[in-house]
Amino acid sequence: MQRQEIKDKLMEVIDEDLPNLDTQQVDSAADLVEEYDVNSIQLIQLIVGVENAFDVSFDDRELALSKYHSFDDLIDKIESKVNE
Amino acid sequence: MADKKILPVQYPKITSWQWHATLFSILGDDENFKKWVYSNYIQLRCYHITEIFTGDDMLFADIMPGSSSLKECPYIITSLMTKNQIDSYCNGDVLDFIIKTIDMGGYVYGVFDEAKILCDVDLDYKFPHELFIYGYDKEKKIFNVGDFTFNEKYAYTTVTFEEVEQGYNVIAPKDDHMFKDDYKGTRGLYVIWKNNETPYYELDEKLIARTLHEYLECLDTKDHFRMMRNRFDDTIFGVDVYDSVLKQVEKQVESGDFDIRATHIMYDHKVLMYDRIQYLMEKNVIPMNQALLDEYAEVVDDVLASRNLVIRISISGDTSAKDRFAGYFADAKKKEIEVLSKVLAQLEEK
Repeated sequence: MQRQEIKDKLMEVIDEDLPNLDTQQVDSAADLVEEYDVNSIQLIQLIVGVENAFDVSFDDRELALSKYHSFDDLIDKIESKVNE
Repeated sequence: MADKKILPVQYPKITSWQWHATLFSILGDDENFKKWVYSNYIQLRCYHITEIFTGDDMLFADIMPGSSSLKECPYIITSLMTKNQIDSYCNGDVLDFIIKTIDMGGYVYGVFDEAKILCDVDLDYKFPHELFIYGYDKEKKIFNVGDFTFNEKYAYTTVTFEEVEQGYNVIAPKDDHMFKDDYKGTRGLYVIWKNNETPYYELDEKLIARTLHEYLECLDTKDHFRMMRNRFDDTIFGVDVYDSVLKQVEKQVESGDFDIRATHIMYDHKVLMYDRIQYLMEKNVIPMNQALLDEYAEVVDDVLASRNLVIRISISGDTSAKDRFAGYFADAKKKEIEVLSKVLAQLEEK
């Protein structure tokens, strides 16, 4: 799966799970907490959505907000899982 | 009188309860404050209460000294102002009272009906919750506040003068759990002054050792404070709190009704304990031992994974994951006892 394809699909999940975020305006390199005020509960909600959308699974230790500074980090993680 | 003033705050290291978030917001990483925090904030305790909003059974877990920290910490001066005093000093105008207090450098903390802040419409429903107020802007008619209610996590935000006034006016003494917990039988506000210029409290190695012993042996640390309150045989202390929280999470998984506050306070406790061990090593109170710190970092990771797992189960509904929670807790408890026993032995050798 190509990175752009993953990014587009992730934006669909964000649309669904983080409706307050305008995905048309999202900078995937921006800081999740500083720029988008994402909290631990929202991140885990997003990851559960990602697991369903991409048919991948995240270890419990991969749910920590501190593991992801930006959406790009999450895309990296999804990329490594779908291409395993 | 200024048109705008914001007192300094720092996003708190621990956020589990509003009183801790408020204290840490005001004092941040002040070096004097650290000596007091690392000498205290060691014992964990929990007991069952009826949740004030829902009437449900709730496991209330906290790090001692709990909400008393806002009155006992030597680096703040806290005045308990009754509503009668506030009315008298400012002709019944609470907004005037808050603004004057902030102008003098005082933070304001008290129970407000946050249903009046969350909703525009009149509701026959109260949500009494502590609000921390640290700034105002007269032109915009807003206060700067810290709270958990508005953003699913502790956050600094603003609320309008009108919301604060309405939220204050409708609170009755029975709603003011802050004053009720102090057995004052009335209602009011705390005015908190930062007082950290002069060192008043040195790191208390004996207290750390005694409380670590009580934590590891699950002893009743509240027994030292009988002067302040009568004791009831209702509280679990120390590492036994792991077992109480595990039971509560298992009940929550069965019922589908989740509350992560107890697991979150467990996580905050481990974060602070890690910092304490590191501090004791850096100050040569105990020998530097990176391997021991790394072992304790695993405890922090296990408890964070368990907290996040509860959130995951609450979202996904996948209850089969609950066995992993028990596993994380068992590992964390075992490792924590090992590490803290070593730290305690080193403190007792001195």
